[in-house]
Amino acid sequence: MHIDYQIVSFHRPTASIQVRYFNADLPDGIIFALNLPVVNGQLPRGEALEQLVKSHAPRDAFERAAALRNADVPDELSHVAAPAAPASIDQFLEGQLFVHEDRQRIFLIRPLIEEQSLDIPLEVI
Amino acid sequence: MSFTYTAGYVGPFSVSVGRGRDGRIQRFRHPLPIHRIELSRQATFIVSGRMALTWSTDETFRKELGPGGAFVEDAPPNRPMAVDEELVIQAIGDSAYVCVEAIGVQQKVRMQRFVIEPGNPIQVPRYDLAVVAQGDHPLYADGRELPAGPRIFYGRTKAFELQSSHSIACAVITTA
Repeated sequence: MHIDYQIVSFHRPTASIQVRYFNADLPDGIIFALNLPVVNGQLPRGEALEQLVKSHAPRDAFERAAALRNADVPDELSHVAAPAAPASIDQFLEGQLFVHEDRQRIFLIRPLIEEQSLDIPLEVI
Repeated sequence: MSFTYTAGYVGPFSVSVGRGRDGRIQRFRHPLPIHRIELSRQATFIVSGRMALTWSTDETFRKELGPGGAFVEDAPPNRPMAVDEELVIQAIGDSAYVCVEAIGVQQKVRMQRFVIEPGNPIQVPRYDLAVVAQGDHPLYADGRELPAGPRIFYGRTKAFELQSSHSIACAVITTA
């Protein structure tokens, strides 16, 4: 199963990254936090980082999403902002909430990042 | 390798800055289908350098954008970004863009783009976010001089005015 990923944030103090995994079965994706191993003060880069991210891809969740996508989807899923009915994906996400909006699953994964680390100056007026 | 990112919360917005060295590629997907610009959950705005953009549903359509460019607004006309639409961004030289997303599941953002020109300041309403692209000349926020370069402004306590002695691209983003 092909799973794409995108690194959405990097938290230097805890050496962790937020990665969004997605594919055609789960286009909204799922965001996970991964702790990066620090070896001799160095963080993984390039291929090592890529391998680390790929090895943590939640294949189980995407397989379940593919199964759900192929099954008949009841109309209740289209209710806007309705609490999600228990599903196998729920358990995998370990308590992360999600709601449905126009049949698109939206994962409530905030707060994503608490620190202000923008590398462009921010002026609050 | 793809772009590198920094991010943080600014008022009601989640802001991230994507920075790409020359030749770096970033695949980009919108989390929701965008049928109308005003329903977008994200606003993207190029603040420095140039980027070449191609869209997965029409790989023959390639567009180069510089400071002031936006991924959705400058997409091929008459073709909405679909949920499985993928945008590939390649940095031409060192370049950066700002992505502003609304906090809240049903919250949207609306972006308006302007050019700050001499004698034509931009008024930014309170609680709005302004993103200013790369410029070689100082910028003035309510008369206070700031060094040249990309900047993000947030009107936490009041509306404010941006002006410059030269033309600079600017985006004003509000929640909708």
